Amino acid sequence: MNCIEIQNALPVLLYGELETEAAKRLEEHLAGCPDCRRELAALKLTQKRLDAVPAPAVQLDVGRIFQEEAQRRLVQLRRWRRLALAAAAVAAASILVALLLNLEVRVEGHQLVLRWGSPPALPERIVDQPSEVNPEATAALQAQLVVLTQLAQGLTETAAGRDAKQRKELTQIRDNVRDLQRQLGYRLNSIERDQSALYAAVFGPSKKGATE
Amino acid sequence: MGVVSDAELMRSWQRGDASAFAELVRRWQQPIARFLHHQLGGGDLASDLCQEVFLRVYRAGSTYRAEAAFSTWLYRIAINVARDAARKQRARTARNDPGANSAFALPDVRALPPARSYERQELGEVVGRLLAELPEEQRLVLVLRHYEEVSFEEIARLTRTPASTIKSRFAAALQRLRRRLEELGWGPEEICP
Repeated sequence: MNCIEIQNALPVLLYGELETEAAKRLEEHLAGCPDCRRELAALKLTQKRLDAVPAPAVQLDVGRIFQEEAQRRLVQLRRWRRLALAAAAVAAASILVALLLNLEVRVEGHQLVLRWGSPPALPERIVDQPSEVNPEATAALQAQLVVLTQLAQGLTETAAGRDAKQRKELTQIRDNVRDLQRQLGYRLNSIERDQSALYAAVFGPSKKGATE
Repeated sequence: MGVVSDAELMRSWQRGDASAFAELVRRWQQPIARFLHHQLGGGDLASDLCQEVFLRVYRAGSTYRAEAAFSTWLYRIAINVARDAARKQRARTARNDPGANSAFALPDVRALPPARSYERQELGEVVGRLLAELPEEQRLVLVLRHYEEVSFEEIARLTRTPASTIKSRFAAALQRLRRRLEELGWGPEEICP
């Protein structure tokens, strides 16, 4: 430890709160260091001078503490009472207003419904009145209905018939294509045979494989 | 019959014994007034603030639990009262004199008469003013350790600060006081190494 570290630890040593080991090291250092001894002496003097500050003598009045606290609680109680009275008055006024206005508050679905006064008159329910029967109009309507029904049936049949016809045509085209393929096969074979015969006639049977 | 401990008195008071509270006030009024006086740099506030401390003790009495030492709990309340008072004083000083930096707008100690005599009263005034010059945290540690004899560990607990920090603050405060006293002509008379 150097002198700066020692001097920083001196105040704690002076008040007797340095750990034994550290205090022992400090004492050893102080024994051989006049500067640090001087610092310790100056600090001791400062410590002594701190006691020169006078301290006031007080005598508290415990009764006054009780009294002040009681007073505070009384004020608090009065405040609460005033608040309670105000809240009661507001509640009473609200109830009165609700009664006078015939107020209705309810929660309906996701809505808060606030309604006052008498409930509004519901609109008269519209009931289909049986109209007078007109035979001509009825007959015309029935005729239109028949036409529409036939039209719908016709459309349905047309669509179904068209589908069947197209399927049939497709089948036929497929058959024709197969026939053509078959005929083409025959014709190709025949051409090959003719070519082989012609080759044999011109060049003779020496060309092996040509007749095959 | 032995002396009833502070914690037992608190318990009695919590059960409704008003005389127990009166006994606590009687025991602690002087240390608390002294602490406030030194922490706030003198003045006439100590008595009123001491009353405020015990009023807060009265109000918070039901919250006291014996796990903590009564003195720790009490000094914590006193520290809060002192801080509130200092804050109010600072605000008042700032309103009256916006340029003032010192918490209590103390007169310049260098303007005091030189060390003509070593009268205790004069020295007391100087030291009191030098205490007020210290930063608040340093002053708190010095006042608690020197005047109230609260150990560094206990100060660490009641200020919720590491003990090593408390010791550093204390050393800085004492060394600063020593230097300032010397500057003002209150140096050592005969210090023999």
